[in-house]
Amino acid sequence: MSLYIDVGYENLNKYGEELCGDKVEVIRNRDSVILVLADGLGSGVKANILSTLTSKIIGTILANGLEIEEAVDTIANTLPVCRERNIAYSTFTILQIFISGDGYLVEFDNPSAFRFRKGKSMPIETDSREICGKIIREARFEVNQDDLFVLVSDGAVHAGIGHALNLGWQWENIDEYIQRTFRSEMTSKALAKLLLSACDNLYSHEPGDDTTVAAVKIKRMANVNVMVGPPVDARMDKTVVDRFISEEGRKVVCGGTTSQIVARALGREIMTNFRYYNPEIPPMAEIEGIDLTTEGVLTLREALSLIKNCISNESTMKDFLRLDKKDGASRLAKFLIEEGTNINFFVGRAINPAHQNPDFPLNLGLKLKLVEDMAECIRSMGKQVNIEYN
Amino acid sequence: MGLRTIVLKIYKPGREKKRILDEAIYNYSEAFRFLLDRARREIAVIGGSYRLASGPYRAGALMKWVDRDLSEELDRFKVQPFKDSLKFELGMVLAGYLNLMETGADARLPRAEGSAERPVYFCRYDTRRSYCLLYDREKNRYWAKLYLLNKDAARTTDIKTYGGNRLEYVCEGSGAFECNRRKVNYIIVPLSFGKYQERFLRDALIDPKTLRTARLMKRGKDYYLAVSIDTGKAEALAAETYMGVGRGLDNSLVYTTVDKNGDIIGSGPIPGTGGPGGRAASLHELHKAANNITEIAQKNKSQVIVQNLEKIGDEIRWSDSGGNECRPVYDRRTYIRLAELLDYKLAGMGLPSPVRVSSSDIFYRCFDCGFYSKKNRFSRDMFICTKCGATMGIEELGSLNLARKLIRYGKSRIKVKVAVTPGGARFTSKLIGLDCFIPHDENQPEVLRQEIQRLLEDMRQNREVGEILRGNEYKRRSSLLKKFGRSADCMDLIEFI
Repeated sequence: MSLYIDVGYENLNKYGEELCGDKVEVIRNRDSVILVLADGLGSGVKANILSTLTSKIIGTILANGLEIEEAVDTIANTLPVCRERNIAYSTFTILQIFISGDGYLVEFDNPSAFRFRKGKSMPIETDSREICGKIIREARFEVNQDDLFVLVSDGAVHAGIGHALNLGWQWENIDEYIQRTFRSEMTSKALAKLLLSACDNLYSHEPGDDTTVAAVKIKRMANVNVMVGPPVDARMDKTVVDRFISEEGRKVVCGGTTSQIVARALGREIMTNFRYYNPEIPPMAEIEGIDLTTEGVLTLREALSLIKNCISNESTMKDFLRLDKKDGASRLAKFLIEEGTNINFFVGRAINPAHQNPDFPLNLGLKLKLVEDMAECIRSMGKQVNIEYN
Repeated sequence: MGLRTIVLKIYKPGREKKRILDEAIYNYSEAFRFLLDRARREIAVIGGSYRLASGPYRAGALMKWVDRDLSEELDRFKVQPFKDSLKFELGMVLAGYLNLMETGADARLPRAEGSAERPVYFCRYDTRRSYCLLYDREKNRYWAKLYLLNKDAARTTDIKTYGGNRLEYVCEGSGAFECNRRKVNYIIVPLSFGKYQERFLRDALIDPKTLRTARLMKRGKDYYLAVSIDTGKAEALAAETYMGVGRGLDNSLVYTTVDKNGDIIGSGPIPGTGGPGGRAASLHELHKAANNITEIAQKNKSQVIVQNLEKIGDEIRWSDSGGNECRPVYDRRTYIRLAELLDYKLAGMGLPSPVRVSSSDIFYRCFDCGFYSKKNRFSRDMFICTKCGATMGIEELGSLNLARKLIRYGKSRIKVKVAVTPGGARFTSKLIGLDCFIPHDENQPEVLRQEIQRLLEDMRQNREVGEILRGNEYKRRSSLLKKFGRSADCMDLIEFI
């Protein structure tokens, strides 16, 4: 089974605290993705140290193929003891998804993990066992395409206590909310951000506890092919277009000249697309068989800015909602962030005559830089990126 | 015109005056029942004969149904002093009923049977008939002169009873009240009241024209005169904020005030209202609520926005998983009545009349991102947006969305259909009357701008549009085109579909 495991997480610090007492560790290796969510005792620096140690130790041990018993034993013997409570304590949840389609879940004192299949809740049944005096819940299961796993710290289920809700946001409420918000194209990061945003609002922006949401989404591999700029050698136009067209997945053409080359090579018309008009972003066009046809540099620059906003640590839900707009830049960014798992750039290096004008601020170097920056951003999301220069 | 009613107590009437007052109220009630009973039997004829060529039924026209013969029949009730009042009041009741029937409402004429006493209505303020007020400047006391007796019951009065010759009419010219030994068909009664009422009476001394109709009524053993006073049109205030007033599940009414940018200035339940769900509030309670709303609106110089519940509901009701239904405190009819009260109360304060808007989405649309979905309502009281995670209490959300309705309307876009063909693109919108084909080799946005500008000019000069369209369709087109006219670039207002 060829799966892409999309991981995203977000956290909120307890009101007035500089550091978060929850920690998420993601380890990607060849066979699997391991996600550890640890919630340290108390809050602030102390909790941060506890959760960081816990998540790092567990992540490293499991990534090296050792058993969970080893990890729990190590934690029990190495965590610093709290002077006030005289205990060393950090709750945790471990989720390991294997590329082969197997899943492994371990929970210790954290709220139960959520599982959704095609948007419908499907709780994971766990067995309990004792390791080093700690009761651990454990489950092994099969993972399907479109499965979604959500791990939360107890701050999420307490959201709203004393503010909007009397008893806080119960596990069942979160479960229902995720089902209501589920959209198949939504990224894990967007979902984590949405859920955390709801928690933050329920806390009236003054969280009573460190709150963390981590989401893992199992997706089918999907290609997005982006052709930018005409090849240096005009005789190669047809060859490059043929190769571009023969790729599976979405096809995006950026640039006026590039669009003409593609249309000519395919023997099709270019028509102006009026579906969205935004004076700040050049209009789109339509070529039969091409999913998106846009202007070049300005659209790429705007799309890159949107992608950077979304992957930034300071991003908000508004940045993700911006992707729902219908202009060329938003649609391109949406393809790259939400749909594609493998991105192939076909970058032509011919110099655009329009860019020869010294007053024109754009040049070939800028276009290549935009593509490279874009590729870097996409790679940071754990996606495969190939760039082919022509 | 803003009307205020002040209630003045008739101060310790003697036994004889009580008898006259009781008899007047009884006679008036009997006569009105008689008229109503007759009208009920002839309602179909009345409805057909007194309908105006244009517009709704009017009390002035309907009162003519009481012709000379019927008027003479009223004499047996000894209501000669109140005949005009009876006719006018009957006209008002019939107009209300017939106009309601026109809208298909479930209405009925008041019952004619029973022994309930009806307040005596004085349809005009006059020193020689109906009623008027008198003032004792020396002792700063007010009196009422009530024409309650017919010729046969006229009686002589002793001027000493009314403080000698000190009384003067509260009317233009302020003539002295003269009393001689001749028989008269009125009684004069002293009035008692509080400081609030005295303020209006003092104003009436300066401008007696403000005194309008009155009603004589009996509550328990006491008698009262409720006088309508025209408070005039207050200086018009330009609205600087928007205030949404929505129904609630725990609170009867909840308001939110926002500035022109939609930022919240204040919100909360309307003070002095509340109670169990799904009930009809008393008129007194509604007046109190309307006064409180008016006060808040005046403080913030607000354009009040209310729910239009005439045809489409607001879906505020909530049924839990156990099938228990929770209803809003005010039912639709009560809320509509409140909005009617606001119409004149706000105008009296110089504020614009409340705007009635569709409220079908106000409890389900996100106040932050604007996303509308039934899934957004998480529970009876809690809204959690399924698109952006914004949360808010349901009652507060409703009033906030109402308050922002006009701002949202101003920013909403007009849909233009685009059909792209190999030769060009056809842009159509039935709403604004747009239908134009622009070839691909032309600057399509620019040509489209010019075409919309042409439509706007046509509308301004009442060419084509005004001739072809009528009524609501014309109003809608004109409103949309004006919106284009106000925008910096009409393309910003278009959503291509």
